[in-house]
Amino acid sequence: MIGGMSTPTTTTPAPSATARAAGAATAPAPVEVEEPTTDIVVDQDRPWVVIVWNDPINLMQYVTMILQKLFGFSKEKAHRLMMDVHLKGKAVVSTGPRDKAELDVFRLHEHGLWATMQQD
Amino acid sequence: MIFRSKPPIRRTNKGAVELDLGREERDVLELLTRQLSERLNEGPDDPDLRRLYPTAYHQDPERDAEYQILARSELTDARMASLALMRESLYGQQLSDEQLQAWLTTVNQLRLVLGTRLDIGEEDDDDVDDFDDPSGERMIYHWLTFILSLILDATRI
Repeated sequence: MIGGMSTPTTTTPAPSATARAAGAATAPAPVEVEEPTTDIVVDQDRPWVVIVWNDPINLMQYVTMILQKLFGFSKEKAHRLMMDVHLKGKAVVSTGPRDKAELDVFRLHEHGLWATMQQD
Repeated sequence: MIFRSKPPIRRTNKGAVELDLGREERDVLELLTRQLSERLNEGPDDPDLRRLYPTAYHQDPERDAEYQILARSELTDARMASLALMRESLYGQQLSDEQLQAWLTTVNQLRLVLGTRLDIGEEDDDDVDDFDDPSGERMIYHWLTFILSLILDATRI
C-alpha cells in the first residue's frame, strides 16, 4: 500500500567524537557551536499539505462529490473547497504526516483529480 | 432512444438505480471501455493516459519517482477493477450502488482520456465549434459529460 512506503529520510546526527572530546577538555563549551540538527527536527514535524489543482476536464459536481466521499466533508464544505479550486486555482484539502498525505493523494489520483503534496 | 421522458440513469423513489440506456448507447460504452482496458494493459506511458497517472510531489522529482513506482500499478489495478465492474453491468436494467460507483469512476476516466486527446482547455465550453470534429471524439466527450451528470445525480453519499 502506498501509505506504508515512506521511511524517515533524515536522522539526527550525533555530535562527533572530536567535538565531544573538545567539550570535555575545556569548560565551558563554546556557545556558538553550530546545531545543525535543529532545522532537521523541525522539518520532520512540519505537516504536509495535500493540494487539489484546477483542471479543465473534471466537472465541478464531480469534484464536490469526490471530496465528500473521500474526506467525509459536508456538501457545503466540499462545495466551498471545489469553488476555491475553480476560482483560485487550488485548495488545500488535507494536512498531516507524510504517510497520510501520500495516501490522500493516491486516493485523489484514483478518482482522477489533480492532487499534489508539499511540506507546509 | 432519443425520445425519452425520464433520465436514462436515475434513482427511483424506492432507492434502486434504473438503467434505461438504449442498446446503441450501451454499445458505445462497451466499445469505449474495451478500448480503455486495452490501453491500460499496454502501460502508463501512453501520452493519452497521462491524466490517469498524475504527479504527486510536484516540488520533488526524486520522491515523485518513488511514488510513481508504487502508485502506477495500484492505480492501474483499481482502474481495471472499476472497468470490469462497469462492463459486467452494461446491459442490465438496474445498477447496485457498487456498480454505480464503478460507472462514476470509469466514465470519468473516459472523459479524462478523451479530454486529453482533444486538448480540452479552460476556455472550452458550449460555444466551441463542435462542427470541427472529424473523428466524432468531441461529440462523444460531450455525451460522456451527459452520462456522468446522470450518474452524479443518481449517486448517494
